[in-house]
Amino acid sequence: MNVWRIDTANQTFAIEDVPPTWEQLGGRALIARVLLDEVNPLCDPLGPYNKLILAPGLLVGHMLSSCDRISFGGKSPMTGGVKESNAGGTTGLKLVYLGIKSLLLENIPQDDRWWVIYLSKDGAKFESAQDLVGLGVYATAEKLLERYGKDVAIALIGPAGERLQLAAGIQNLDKDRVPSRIAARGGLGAVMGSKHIKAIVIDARDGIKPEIKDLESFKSAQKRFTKSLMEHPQTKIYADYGTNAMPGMSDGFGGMPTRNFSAGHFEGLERIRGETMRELLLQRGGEAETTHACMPGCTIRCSNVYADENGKTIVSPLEYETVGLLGPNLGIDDLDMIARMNYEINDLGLDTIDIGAALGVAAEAGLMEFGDSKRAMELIQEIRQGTVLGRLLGNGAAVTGRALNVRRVPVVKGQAMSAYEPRAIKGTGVTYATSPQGADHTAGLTIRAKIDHLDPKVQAEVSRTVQINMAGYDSLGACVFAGNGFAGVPETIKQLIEARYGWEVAENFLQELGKTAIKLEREFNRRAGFTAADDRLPEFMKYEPLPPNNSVFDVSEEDLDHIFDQL
Amino acid sequence: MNVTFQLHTALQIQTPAGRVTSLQCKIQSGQSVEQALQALGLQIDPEGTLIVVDHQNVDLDYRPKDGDIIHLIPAIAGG
Repeated sequence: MNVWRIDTANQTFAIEDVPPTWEQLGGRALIARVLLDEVNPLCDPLGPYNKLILAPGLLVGHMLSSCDRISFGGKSPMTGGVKESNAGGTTGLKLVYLGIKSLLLENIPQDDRWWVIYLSKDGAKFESAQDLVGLGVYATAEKLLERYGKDVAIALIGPAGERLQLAAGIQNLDKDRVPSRIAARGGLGAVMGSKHIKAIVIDARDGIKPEIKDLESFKSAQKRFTKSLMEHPQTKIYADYGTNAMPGMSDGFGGMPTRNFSAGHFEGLERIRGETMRELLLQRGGEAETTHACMPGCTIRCSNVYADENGKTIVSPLEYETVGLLGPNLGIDDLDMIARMNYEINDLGLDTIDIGAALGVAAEAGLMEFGDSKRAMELIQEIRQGTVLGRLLGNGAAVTGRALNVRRVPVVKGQAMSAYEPRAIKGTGVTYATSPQGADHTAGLTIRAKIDHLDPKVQAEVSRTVQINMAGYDSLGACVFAGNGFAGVPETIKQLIEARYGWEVAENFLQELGKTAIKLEREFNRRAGFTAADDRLPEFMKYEPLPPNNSVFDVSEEDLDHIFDQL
Repeated sequence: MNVTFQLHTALQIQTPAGRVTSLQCKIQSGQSVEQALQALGLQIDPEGTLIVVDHQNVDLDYRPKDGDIIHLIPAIAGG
């Protein structure tokens, strides 16, 4: 494996050996290491000194179920700190087939030309992307697939990334070549846009599968992990209902963000929950699919294809966080409209969480009535048109709230919360507050824990444990849901890593990896100027009781400040 | 006493007449959730199921009050 380093100003590239301190890191942990080693924490995230880092996780490359995720990273233009955002699809797998441990995009061009970077066994080539400028994600992917053939993987940005909007993400093809797997959070699409890279095309047709040092041991661990995953009851629920199995659970705890985080119960729950969605999709038939894999080899298949009443695809997938932020958070209970908004936001190359939160803030400011899906869609179209209001919304909830003088803005470190109300699920509030990534649904959710979610005293420990595990999984390239399989046979992580690389690693390699990632990330943030004051929820959550529990966020500042003392 | 079990995701029952999303039953005062479930013939995996009343986790030995809505939620880790 090598490091591929690309200079976007001079359109040159070099292949380098992997530095020894990077060897045993992957995905999220590797990104944090690279940032600390090579990026000035005080740099302008959209300037020449920031880097866009692609790093497959350590287990990527073997079609191990749900373990081929790609991490993107850099200094976040949204949070001003460390950022890792990962996605499924085929990008990670194909990068590994080319022997790429990490791809680094450096510098920014001095002219107006836009580029596709084409990666193959012969190296990296810059090819003009002038014909793609301004195109949406779906049309761009179609043109690139025509140009480069159906076997490539693609990571690309939409118009929002080109315009350096802070909520822009990076989309990746799923196994059916739909550009729907987005590394959405923290504005990495804007970092890619700042370097005038419209797309990275990975042609691994002549690539090779990575070597496995002890194939027999790897296969035995793989078999046990896959069995454990397939037998786990959660796997079947995700397969049947997708991630949209969540609304009933979140709402059950009074934790469904409703009307810009002003309530925790949504009266239109029945119309948007996964059970209803599944029934609807089965009735509609045609292109609708209730279960679908985003990565080759995934046995969970939590994705879906959401189709209209004629069975024609509206969007794929429709996921819980999107439903939560564009649905209850906007007072909207119409799944078809939520799906249509999802498609538009995807096509612009934006994060549905931050845009949903921005629309909620805009509604609070009087720019739309809660529940008015037509007006919500008009506001999304303003983003496409590039109006001043649209440009504002495309920067996400924090900027929108600041510009519209709204007090209730659900962000931490400038990044919007996902669809779990931290006053009702306080452990997740601890995660939102203390994750170096900002408020993030992949950083460590606690809703599954059988605890009193309102008791402020028991939350920090639960959050700490899941944050470390999640940072570990993000470094392995494992989907959060693969964790259900590993939880039953935790020893297989050590066995897989040792069999793959020939290393000797600790029994608790997952946790060690997670701790390393968080330690490095916190150090980068510290050098970027972050303090304990950044590890806090927005103030309104401390004094504004959230119905129906009428609870406030009251986990002590001491707990927040010392959560990672023992890393 | 009347209590309602609200069934989520995999616990909902598919019938030719449609999805059954809740079951109502009468229980004796002092009976536990576990006893009520037995009386109804409803089987759940106690480890993998969240039992939620008034927006909070409760255990199988929870004694319902008249009118309680008891959510039975196959637990998942998030979305």
